[in-house]
Amino acid sequence: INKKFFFFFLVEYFRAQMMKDPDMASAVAAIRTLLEFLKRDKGETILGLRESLTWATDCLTGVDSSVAVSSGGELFLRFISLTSLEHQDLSRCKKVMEERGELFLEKISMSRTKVAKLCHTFIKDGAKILTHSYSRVVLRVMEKAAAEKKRFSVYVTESQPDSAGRQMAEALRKLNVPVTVVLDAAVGYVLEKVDLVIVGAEGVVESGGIINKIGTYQMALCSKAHNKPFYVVAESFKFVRLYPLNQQDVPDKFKYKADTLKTVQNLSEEHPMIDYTPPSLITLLFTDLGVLTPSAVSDELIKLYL
Amino acid sequence: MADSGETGGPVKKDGIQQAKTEGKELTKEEKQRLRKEKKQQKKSKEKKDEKASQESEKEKKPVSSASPASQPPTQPITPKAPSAVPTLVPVPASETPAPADKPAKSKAEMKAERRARQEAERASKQGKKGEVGQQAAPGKPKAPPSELQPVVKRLPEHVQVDNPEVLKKLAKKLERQQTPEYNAATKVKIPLRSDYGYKVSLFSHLHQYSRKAPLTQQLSIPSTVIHPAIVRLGLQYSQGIVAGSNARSVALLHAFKQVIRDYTTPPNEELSRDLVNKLKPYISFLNQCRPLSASMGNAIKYIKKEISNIPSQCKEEEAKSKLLNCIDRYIDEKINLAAKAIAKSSIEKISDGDVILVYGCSSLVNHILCEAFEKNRKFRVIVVDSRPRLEGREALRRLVQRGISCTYVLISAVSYILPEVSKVFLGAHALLANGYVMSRVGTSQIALVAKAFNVPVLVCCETYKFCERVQTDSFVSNELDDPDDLIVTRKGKTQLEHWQEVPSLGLLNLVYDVTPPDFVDLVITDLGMIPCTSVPVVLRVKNVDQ
Repeated sequence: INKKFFFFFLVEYFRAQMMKDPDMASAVAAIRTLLEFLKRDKGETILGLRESLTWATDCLTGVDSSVAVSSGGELFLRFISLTSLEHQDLSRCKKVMEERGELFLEKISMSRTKVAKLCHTFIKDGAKILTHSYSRVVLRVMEKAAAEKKRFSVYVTESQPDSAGRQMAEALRKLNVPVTVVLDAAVGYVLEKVDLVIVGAEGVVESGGIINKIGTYQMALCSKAHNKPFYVVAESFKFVRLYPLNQQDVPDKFKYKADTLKTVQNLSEEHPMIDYTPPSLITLLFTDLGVLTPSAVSDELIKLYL
Repeated sequence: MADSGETGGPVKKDGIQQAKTEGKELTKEEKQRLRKEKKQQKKSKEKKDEKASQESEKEKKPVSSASPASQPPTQPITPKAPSAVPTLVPVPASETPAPADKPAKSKAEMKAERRARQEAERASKQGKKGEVGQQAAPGKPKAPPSELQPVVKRLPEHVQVDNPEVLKKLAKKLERQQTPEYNAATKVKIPLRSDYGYKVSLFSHLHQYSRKAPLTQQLSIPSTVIHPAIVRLGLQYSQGIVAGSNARSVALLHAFKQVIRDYTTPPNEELSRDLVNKLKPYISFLNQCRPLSASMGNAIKYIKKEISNIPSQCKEEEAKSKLLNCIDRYIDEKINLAAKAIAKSSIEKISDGDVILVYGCSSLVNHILCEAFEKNRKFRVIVVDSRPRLEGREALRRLVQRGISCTYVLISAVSYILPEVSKVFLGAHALLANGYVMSRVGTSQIALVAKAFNVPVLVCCETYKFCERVQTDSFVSNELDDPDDLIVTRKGKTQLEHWQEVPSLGLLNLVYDVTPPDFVDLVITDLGMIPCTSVPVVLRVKNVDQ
């Protein structure tokens, strides 16, 4: 009975958070939800607390199956348990964990700004940028670059099946940045005109590769062939403990939307929403931990998780 | 004249050497002394100088090196002292304005002397450090390198086989490595194994032994120096009865356990120091039988550390049982439990319908495949094999016995079957600090072809095989096996039987090769799945732990 109540609470709170601030990353909303859940949890033991947090993360992944939600949840759990929990009183332990949780939330809300600060210097005056689909981090980077009085133009792919690229184009027009929407199939055609490619990421995997909206892998392959730098901007809570060897190796629960997973029987007829870009095609990753090469991602992950 | 100058030298040279190692600047006095010696050597005739100085060095060396045999603490200073002179001498040589040819000549003779001294120093150091084998460029230049002075780089003996001076030093070192026996008549030396057959010039810096002449035949009876368990182990290594890096390490540790059990501390000696010294000749002997592997090197380092950490007030029985427990724990943690952890991670990477390619016989890869089969994963295996070892047959036998469906091909057919393969699992002999994988010869070829076909390559390796060495090619440090293994008899005819009589023919039987990290997609270790470039991170984390 308890679980059902909590389940509904989680889902409602999560959805409310997402609607309140559409600019917020889904992982941040998830972490806010988990923090609220922690405050209300009536568990008796620390182990029980951990288990219920893991269960809560799974519930949220059921609502929004992006990689970031699961990675954010796991990192949240690790961060709050990283402190000494030797207090006799459980309520004191909980208080400590809640404080850590607030700290974590504060840190990650600053992460987009940090990323933007690092990345905007790579956009030179007069640059032509290619990007894929709608990414709030990339948008923030471009905002920062525009604020620094840099003149640049952007090509955005339409990014079917949900036409998220058009949303990106709208947002960029509001910033007075000249933007052109191109077909997904026209990436190879347009690459000779651009100077650099910047994309966001839904998840950064252990090998240094990224998981992002479908079409990113193609774009990375083409930019490698044209010798254009391929930059990825991602916050650190998107680092996830996966190691895919190829496209097939990405678990199904990330490939499709949560609703699709629940309703559809035969997944092989559904079109996946994400793909995996291997680290050999990525030039640099901009994160709030700094500017990293793909091989340094494993180093950071070891520091974060071990 | 030269002699008198140098015999006065040793004591002062100690001082200079100490000053050098402490990185302080030479005092005026010391510099003057050096200049004096330099001038004296210049004054005598060129050739006589060389001979005289070299002979006097060699005389001094057995004299100075025989004495430290019973005084280990003073050992580091005296062998170092002779090397101090040649490294320091070129400094004043270039400083003092001298006619152009004279400094050049003396530099050449200095270089020759320096080399000889380096060898002696290293030979005695090798015994002390116990790093037999794999350290190619041991990092600490003793002298603070000034811009006029080259940094002293020492190469291990086993990659300088074509240098006769080095061999002479090694022979001397093996002679010296005897436990002090009260009865001089029972003193036995560890024999020096001689190379066999013509060596291909690119690999002439490595040893090449014949399996038909094992080292044990040269040991006289009774061999009181070497424990019988070690003799047996050496024979097993050299004949190839115990092969494979895990098997060799485990056998080594078991033999050491036996040695520790039979050990008694002699009176007036401390167990922690004496036992380490006892182990040195054993390690040299094993190295002569078959060069030590990286995993064995790490195991030996661990044991030596544990032995030297035994507190002096510990009773002998207690100390021995503690050591035995340490060794058991090491084997358990680093090999057995690591295999379980790796199997657990690897099973996630094996999906139903997979076609897995394996090369040769890696105990770890076989373990993984058997575990995955028990967890009811549906896959089939392609075993690739190569001459002359044909280890794949052993792997094939083990897998088929479990009921796994296998295909067997030789390495020449690898590009033919690769389109069918979905994953490649490789074992490793060692993982180097720059991310290169050292494994059985043929591994890099398979990784290369797999990359060309876009097939993921997974390397499985326990963390105790990670080593601090850096290597970018397979020439610098490798192992040459018996060239007679390449001879094959078909239809009653043995074509290569008389290969030694053909002067331009050389047979090359390489054992290891290195694979660059670009060809490896994933390394599965007991710490988790890491990319090949993260090996130095693991080494760093391990060092912090210790």
